[in-house]
Amino acid sequence: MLKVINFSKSFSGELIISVPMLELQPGTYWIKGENGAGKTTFFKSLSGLIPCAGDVKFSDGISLTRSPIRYRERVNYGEAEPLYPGFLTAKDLIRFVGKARNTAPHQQDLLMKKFGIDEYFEKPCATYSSGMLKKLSLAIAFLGSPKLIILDEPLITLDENAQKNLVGLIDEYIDKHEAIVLLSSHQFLENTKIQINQSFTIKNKTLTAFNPT
Amino acid sequence: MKVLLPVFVREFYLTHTGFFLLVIAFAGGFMRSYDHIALGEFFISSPLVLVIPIVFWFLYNLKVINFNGEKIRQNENEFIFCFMLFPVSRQWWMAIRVVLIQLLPVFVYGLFLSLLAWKHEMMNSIIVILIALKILVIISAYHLLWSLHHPNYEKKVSFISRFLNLQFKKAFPLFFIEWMTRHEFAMLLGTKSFSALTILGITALYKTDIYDLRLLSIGIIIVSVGNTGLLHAMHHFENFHLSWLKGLPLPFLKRIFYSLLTIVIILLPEMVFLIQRFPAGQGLYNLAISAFFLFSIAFLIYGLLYAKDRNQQEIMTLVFYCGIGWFVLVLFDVPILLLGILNALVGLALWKKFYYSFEYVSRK
Repeated sequence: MLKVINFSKSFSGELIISVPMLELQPGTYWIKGENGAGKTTFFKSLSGLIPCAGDVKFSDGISLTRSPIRYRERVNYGEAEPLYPGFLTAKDLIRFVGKARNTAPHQQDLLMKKFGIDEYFEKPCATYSSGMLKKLSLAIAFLGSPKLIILDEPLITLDENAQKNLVGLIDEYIDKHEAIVLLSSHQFLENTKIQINQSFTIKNKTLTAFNPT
Repeated sequence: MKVLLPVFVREFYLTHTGFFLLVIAFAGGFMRSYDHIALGEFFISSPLVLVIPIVFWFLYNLKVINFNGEKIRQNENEFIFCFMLFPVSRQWWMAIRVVLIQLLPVFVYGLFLSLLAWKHEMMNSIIVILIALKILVIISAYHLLWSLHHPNYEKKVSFISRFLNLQFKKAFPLFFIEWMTRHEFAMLLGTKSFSALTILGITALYKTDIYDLRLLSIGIIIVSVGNTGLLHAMHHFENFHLSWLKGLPLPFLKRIFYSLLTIVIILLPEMVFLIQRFPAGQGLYNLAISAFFLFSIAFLIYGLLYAKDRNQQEIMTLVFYCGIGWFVLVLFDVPILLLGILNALVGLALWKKFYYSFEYVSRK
């Protein structure tokens, strides 16, 4: 289980998003919100890329603030619009992140094949289309045995086959690793095969459970 | 034009504030007005000698061309391609205006040399200056127009790159070095040339007279401070191009090892110059602590960059004041080993304390 406690994130004194309390069990959660609502800021904070107030911790006490390295071992993040230096290849990135996350090379190769990255594994990122970059970012987001996988707009620019593989991977990580998958999307996820456990929305800069009624 | 000026001109001067501050500090701090006039008169004395400033103008022009090319390639600037909808004559006029403002420092110095040449009735020099300036403007404006007319050029990977990518994977400490050589080559070349000249100049003094280690230590301070631009670029690279790096579960020791290794690689040319030109009478121990002092200043600057989000101008100002502090302490014979240890410890403490809480806002 993951607990988000008294979370808030401000820029230059202005509150962007707050989460008084949130408890998540393994499963898939959809964060909805308009553009600029603070979804990406929330995701980046959860993944430890930007500082925030409050705490985020797993049920065994591993927390973002108190055990930053062990927390990061369990959290993977796939960006909405991934940005990699153009001269680096998918191989450079997957091998480096894979090593940092202590993953076996065969898992790296498996993910690479699953997203069809093997075709351009040794080519520099500058030659990639936005879809290819997105696949690379998603493959990186599944490296290791993460307990929390955060996917920001995972479906944009993805072809149909990659979308299917992504859905399969989400299910697999929830079943095998008891992962919590947090995702944001402006697309209607109801039309996909992603099983959503619960949806949230950001209202008045606060994350609240989404109630369609 | 209102769109082109902020993208190309304002950004150009903001990005290169450190470079201009360094030039102003050098030209205004070390040289007096009659030194400038004497140097100018030397330059215009013959068209052959005039090649020296012209080479520097072409290097500056290279900086302008690189900058404009990079701006055009950035996705956020794709809107500029609407520029092609203007009539060709207007496109040329706008491109020329942009590069004229970017080349303003060159024109100011060209005017200064022309006035000196006019005073000494050296018409040949004036003609050479005018031709050089005209060529600079044509090259830059043509490059700008060409780049705007060829937005989606095919990205080709050379055979050597393909072979290397196939055989090897890049080591993390080389990520920044490769980025630097590809994107900020002019800054890299300028910084290393400045370092080489400073070390060569200072060590040459030891051959003419007897000096203690303090003179060389002052040279090391100047060289380290001169590397601030590179360290700022490294910090920008880590926090902008590798923004995902902070999310990796890398232990502190490994992270700091990667950063230290990158800084050592950045300072490798200075280390080589220092070893090659180290004054014979100073001994190996002094060589080792001099190298350590050089490295410790760079590491402190790196730590300071994580303590607070600072743009290049702000960090240059801070480092400038630190430089004055080190200068005074060295003059008062405070051992550079002690200063080096202090710099390294403060740098490490700042980096460790602020690494995760640091939030990158300033771009460059």
